Amino acid sequence: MEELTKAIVELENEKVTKMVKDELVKGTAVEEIVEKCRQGMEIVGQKFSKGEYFLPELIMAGEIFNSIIEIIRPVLAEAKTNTVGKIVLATVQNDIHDIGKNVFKGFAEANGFDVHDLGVDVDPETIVNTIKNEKPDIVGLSCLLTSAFDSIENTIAKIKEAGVRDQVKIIIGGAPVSEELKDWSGADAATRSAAEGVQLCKELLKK
Amino acid sequence: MAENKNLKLYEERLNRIVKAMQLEEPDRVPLIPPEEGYWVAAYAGYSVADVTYDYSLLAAAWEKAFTDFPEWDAAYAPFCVWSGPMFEFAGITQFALAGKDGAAQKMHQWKQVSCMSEDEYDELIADPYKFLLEKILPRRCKELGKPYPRNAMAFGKAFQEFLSWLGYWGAKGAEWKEKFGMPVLAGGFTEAPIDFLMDHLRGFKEFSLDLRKLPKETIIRACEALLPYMIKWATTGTRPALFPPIFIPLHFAPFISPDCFKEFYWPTFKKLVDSLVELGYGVIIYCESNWTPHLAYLKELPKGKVIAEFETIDMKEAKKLIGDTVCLMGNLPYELLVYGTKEKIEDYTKKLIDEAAPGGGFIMSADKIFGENVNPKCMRYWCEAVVKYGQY
Repeated sequence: MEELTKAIVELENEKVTKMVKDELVKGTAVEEIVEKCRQGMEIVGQKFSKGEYFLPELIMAGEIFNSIIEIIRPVLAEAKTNTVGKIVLATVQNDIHDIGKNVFKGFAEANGFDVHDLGVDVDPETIVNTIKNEKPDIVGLSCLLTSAFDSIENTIAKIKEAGVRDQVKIIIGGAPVSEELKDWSGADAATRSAAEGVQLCKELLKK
Repeated sequence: MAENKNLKLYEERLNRIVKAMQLEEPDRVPLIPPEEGYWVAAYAGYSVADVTYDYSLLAAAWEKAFTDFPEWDAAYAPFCVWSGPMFEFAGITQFALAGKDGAAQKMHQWKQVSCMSEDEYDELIADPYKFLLEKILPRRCKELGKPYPRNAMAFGKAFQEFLSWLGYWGAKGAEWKEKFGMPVLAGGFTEAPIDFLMDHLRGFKEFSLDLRKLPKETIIRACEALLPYMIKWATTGTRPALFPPIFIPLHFAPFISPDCFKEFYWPTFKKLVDSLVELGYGVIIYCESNWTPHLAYLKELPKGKVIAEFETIDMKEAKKLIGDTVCLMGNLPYELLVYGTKEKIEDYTKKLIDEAAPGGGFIMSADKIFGENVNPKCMRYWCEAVVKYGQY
């Protein structure tokens, strides 16, 4: 494993920051740096799925990845980074919780997705309009509260009404979501895990 | 005569629950839906904002539910919608209040706010009371952070409201016993020291990072410093008894590794439960999310004094592993009560009873606190299924 990838997997924040700066000074292509980081984040995700890592480790990895992006942002804009797909992401109306959504966002970005994050308590109209403007491949709807089930149903109904349901795949995520809610609301995928959610998004792109 | 009938009903329900707590077989499996007021309010046609500002509406809503669902054996935690005026007098910034703060129309919501910084641990450990009173309260409640005398006036108003709120629900509990024969389950409230530290002081994300960044000793000493206050929180204004038990919702455990749990979570949490039991209290712990990795620890808790309420868990395994120590509760999937058919609800109810009820020590409940979208029809199917399959 590359040293940088390894340092990310081991969540060595300061080491990672220094290594990324060194790589930039050495003139390493930014795409290459991002790829090494991406691999590290992927392994962190796998460790989470296997039960070796837990949510604090995911949050730490997300923080590390954000600090890497901050360092390379000036050069990133010029580099050609390949995005695998675009996600419009939101915590649905009447729910203000975003820990899970933000962890998902970090991992989705680390896995090459372009994520357009609308924040929390987002009304269906805003989501529909963003679909029309941003033309994402995937819409990610997050919630923590059971009382937000209605908002998930309602948002997907509005997406259908607007005639854009066929243009996107919809994944719902959060601690209370289930296959029942997926079927009832008409989503394409459901997950209670941020790491699994990113894998599901990759699969949705193939469908 | 009617009162006698209700008192008899109360005794019947109380016996059912207490026997289950003591790991014995009652006449039938007790049924206590995890309802804190949000659903009964909606069921009676009120918004959460309505009942947060007018307790009499919430009480009326509960009473409608008691009448329509007499199969319930207790009101779980009837006052957890809290008092809107109290929060407003104090200027609390921790909740988004339903009907007040835009987003939260259907439930009060917890905002993740960090109101203690990473370098304040020493101050907390040195004198928790002083730190909480002088530093945290004014940060948490903006009216209490204003210059004297405005802070004192705000405190006076909020405390006065708190007392009348407490008095109102205390009187209601007595009234419900006589008029409906309905016990109230939650007798008091507290938190595990580490959850208090995470929930109220540091915030989820910040505390997650602390666990990796700070010396282990710092976290452990902070939990130990908070422990006496967590005990006091439970015992203040409550009477030591097996029933009603002290309610302890558990928050951080499912998110951390078994090593982390063992080192940081379990020691002061166990001390909390042991201390309350020694003082004569029963305890109900609500093991939110998935407790599978930490399940075996619960075997170390005092026998026949604790209800362990579960969200996502294999109840068959739990029965095998800890069924001789704690009374199991919970696990029926919430979505069944929103979208389920009669058949699906009956099947799951029967499965749960078959797995967890034999020998006693089981209370039927659902996996998540009720929101407004539980379907009353599903509630009816559930009640009937418990009566049908839950007889011993």
